[in-house]
Amino acid sequence: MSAWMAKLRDRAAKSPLRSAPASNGADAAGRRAPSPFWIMVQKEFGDHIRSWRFIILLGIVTLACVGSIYASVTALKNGGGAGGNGQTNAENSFLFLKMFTESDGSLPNFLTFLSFLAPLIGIAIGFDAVNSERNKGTLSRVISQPVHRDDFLNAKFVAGLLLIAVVVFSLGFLVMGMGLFTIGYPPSPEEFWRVVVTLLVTTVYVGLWLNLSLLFSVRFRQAATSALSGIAVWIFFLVFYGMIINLVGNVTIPSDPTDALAVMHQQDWLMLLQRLSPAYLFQEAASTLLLPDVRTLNPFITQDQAYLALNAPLPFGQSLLLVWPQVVAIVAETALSFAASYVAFMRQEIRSRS
Amino acid sequence: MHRFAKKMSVGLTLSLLVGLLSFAATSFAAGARIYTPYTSLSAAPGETLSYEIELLNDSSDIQSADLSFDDGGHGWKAELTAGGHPIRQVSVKPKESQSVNLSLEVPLEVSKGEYAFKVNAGVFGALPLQVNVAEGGTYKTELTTEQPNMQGHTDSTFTYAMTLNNRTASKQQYALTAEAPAGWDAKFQVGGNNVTSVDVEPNGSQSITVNLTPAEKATADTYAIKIHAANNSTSADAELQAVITGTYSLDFTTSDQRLSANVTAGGTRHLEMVVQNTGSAELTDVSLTSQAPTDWDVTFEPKTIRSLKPGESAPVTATIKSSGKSLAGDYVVGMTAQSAEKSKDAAIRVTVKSSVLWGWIGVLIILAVLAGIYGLFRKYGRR
Repeated sequence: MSAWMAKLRDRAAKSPLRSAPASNGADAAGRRAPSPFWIMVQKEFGDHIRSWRFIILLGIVTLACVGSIYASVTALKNGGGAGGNGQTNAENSFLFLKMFTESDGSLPNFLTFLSFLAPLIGIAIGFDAVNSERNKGTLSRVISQPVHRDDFLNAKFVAGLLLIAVVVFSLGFLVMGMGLFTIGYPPSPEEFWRVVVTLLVTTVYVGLWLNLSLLFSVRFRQAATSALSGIAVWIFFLVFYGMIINLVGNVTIPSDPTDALAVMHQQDWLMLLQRLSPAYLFQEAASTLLLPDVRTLNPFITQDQAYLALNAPLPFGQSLLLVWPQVVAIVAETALSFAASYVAFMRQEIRSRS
Repeated sequence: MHRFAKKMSVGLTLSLLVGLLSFAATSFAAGARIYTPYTSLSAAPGETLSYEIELLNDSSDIQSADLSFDDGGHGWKAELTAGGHPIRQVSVKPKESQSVNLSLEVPLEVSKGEYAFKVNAGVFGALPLQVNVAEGGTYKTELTTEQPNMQGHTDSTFTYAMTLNNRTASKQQYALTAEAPAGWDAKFQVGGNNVTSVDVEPNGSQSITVNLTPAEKATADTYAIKIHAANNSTSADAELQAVITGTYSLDFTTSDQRLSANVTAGGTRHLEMVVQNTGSAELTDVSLTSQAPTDWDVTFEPKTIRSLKPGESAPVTATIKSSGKSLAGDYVVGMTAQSAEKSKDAAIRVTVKSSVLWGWIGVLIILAVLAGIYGLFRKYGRR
């Protein structure tokens, strides 16, 4: 979203017909063509693409994805895998989406891999973005150029997000292509858009981790500290947070297990706690988008709600509406973490050599 | 001597004469007789009477006679047989008897009355016979059925068993026709095959089955169907009755036959429904009920239909109000139109859509966050 805004501003600034200044300060920067901001974005992007770090990461993630596709294709060929034999037509009609969610058990499915490993890309791209430049002394050199001070951080973010989008969409389309090749079953438009929206949400989600690691790189002078804190947060949310929630759940379990209202109340609280984790939000959003059969994200379906309900998949719009709060939360968290790193960066002193 | 001889001869001659005479008298009066036990019978036209006639010979000679039948000018058909063969002459041994059969056929065209006949048997004498015809002969065709009235539904088949009697003297071929109301179908069957005409031997009868299929839209009523069996010379009519009791049938669907609808969670949806009486009897007090998910509300306007004539339809507006707690996706709403006689269900698949209100609130939140970032840009970035 920020990248889009930056592009818009850039384009507005370049337009000679523009008379009234829309945003303060954009005029002065925009008059010079090409904009120094986009030059910095291109430089950042190029640096990342050529770095060993990125190639290694990409290799790991690609291998994981290929492995998961192999698992899902094996499961589909064996006739449904975990879905069992008694599958209805409604379930079979979304065969293509199963590429992303099915597994024969030997490896986790694509979605699990993505939610687990994709944050690593964000962390790896962002953890030394600011502090390494600061330590090498290049930061003050860049700032001494006639650029806005925040352009430096914005360029880091936009370049990182673009890179993430490229990687996520390449992986997604790689899976779709291999799916077409192996199962020979083309996706319906609805399935295609479900996958595309899922990939968009994934991009924003990885952007959140990029912003977090940017924040750490602004905050901590040492790159190793920044990387470690990023990984710590990652491990905390993906591994320990669920355990802690379970622990809390076990402790706060109602004394009377027959009191349905109390049990529901406690489960709702646990669900709320779970949803504080961005990883959980992403898993809910992505799995609902890729599994049209999911009708609710509540831990309970009451008897009232299930009475006379038909077991039918939801249309795409309804699935999106169902996870819209999750999507909003992920976007908002991404934007907020960017704002935090922005404020932290802008309030820091920049010296020639510290 | 001569005198005595003369007397003697006269006496002898006399006695001989008397003896001869007496002999002749016995031989004629008691020597040969004709006999049958039933000389006066009653018979119906077309019937065949059978007489056993005995010829008795009490004399010591063989007696022979020609046999003939005098029909008295009535023209009835008669045949004398013995041992299965027609007979004209009979001989009877002394002190024995012979029997001869007479079969006498009462003609079909005969009037009521007494008819006298005579069997002539020469030396055996004549045997008078009398036949009493109790009622006049018809010389016509009869078409009858034991049960001319039947009851059933519009979709049932009426099967009548009829008998066609040919009371004429010759073999007849009858064409069979039925005067059924428009749309009705009548079929004649003889021995399991469909036929349009039938041959009947004189004085014979034939069973005919009539299969009657009512018109599809036949209303409840009593229908009379005339059956004719006719040819150029003779004909017979019969009337069958088919009583149709009305069928009760009901159709209940949406006005555009679409059994699906959308509704926003917590919102309402109006559905135009149609109740149609597809039966042939009037339906009264058709009430409309529903089976809906919990906390849903389905109301009908009108709630009951007072009366619905055959073929008529009545519009009903169903208002479905969904619960705000329902999940997005499909639910089944069952609606029933029910009268005392018949009911019909309509299952409507209702797709619940989430309210987009929270979607817009989410967009607002994102816009607020972006506005905050823009504020940060303003505050720090471009000083």
